Amino acid sequence: MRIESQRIGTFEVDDRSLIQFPSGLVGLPARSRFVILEFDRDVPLAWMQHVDDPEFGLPVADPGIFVQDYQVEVPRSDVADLDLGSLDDAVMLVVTTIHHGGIMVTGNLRAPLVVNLANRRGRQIVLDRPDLDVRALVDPIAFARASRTPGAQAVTAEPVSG
Amino acid sequence: MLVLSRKRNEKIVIGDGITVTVLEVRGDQVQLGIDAPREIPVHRYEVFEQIKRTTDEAARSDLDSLEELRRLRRKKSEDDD
Repeated sequence: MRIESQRIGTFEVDDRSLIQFPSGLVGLPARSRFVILEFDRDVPLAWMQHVDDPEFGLPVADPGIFVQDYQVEVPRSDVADLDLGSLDDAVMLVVTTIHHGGIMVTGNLRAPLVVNLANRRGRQIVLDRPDLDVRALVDPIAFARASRTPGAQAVTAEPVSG
Repeated sequence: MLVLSRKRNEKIVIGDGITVTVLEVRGDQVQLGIDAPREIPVHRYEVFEQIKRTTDEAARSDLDSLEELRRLRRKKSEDDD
């Protein structure tokens, strides 16, 4: 599958690398088919590209660049929806914003993305945790030290050509 | 907008299988019980809107700042050495 995006360039990705969000994203039900691409090795962020709209994509990151210990409980209904046999199969990613005109990066810790590696189904879950910020600031030290995006790497599509 | 009046313990049904029950009314606060199939997400409107807005914001991320972020990261790791 070929993705031609003004923002991130042209990529050829394998159909098998697709991740399906059957319910779309929260409030955006049509945003359901994505691939995750690595930006490059120098930034611990990945790019989640909507395959049906080349101009829609989101930076995603490992929760570890925002908080050291991100312990959340995935609601049972979400586990069922993802057909998640074991939490070991799950990867959690945080929808991340790179803000304009500066170097501020924030992540939505209240509504993470959970991807089941076994069937490549994903879901944006809404946690009943008002203490978790939707615009949590990146931890600069964690950001500087993080190696790539371990969670995203597990589901990354290998771009065939850049 | 359809407007219905309900008393405590009365219900409304939406489509196939979504039931909303008025559990308690106290002053200006109403407690609702919602039964919906698990594939239908139910959220407080404010939370839902806030999350959607945050996702829209993320989609408009400034990718030009990536270079700046790389530079900061390199600087940070040099400082650490």
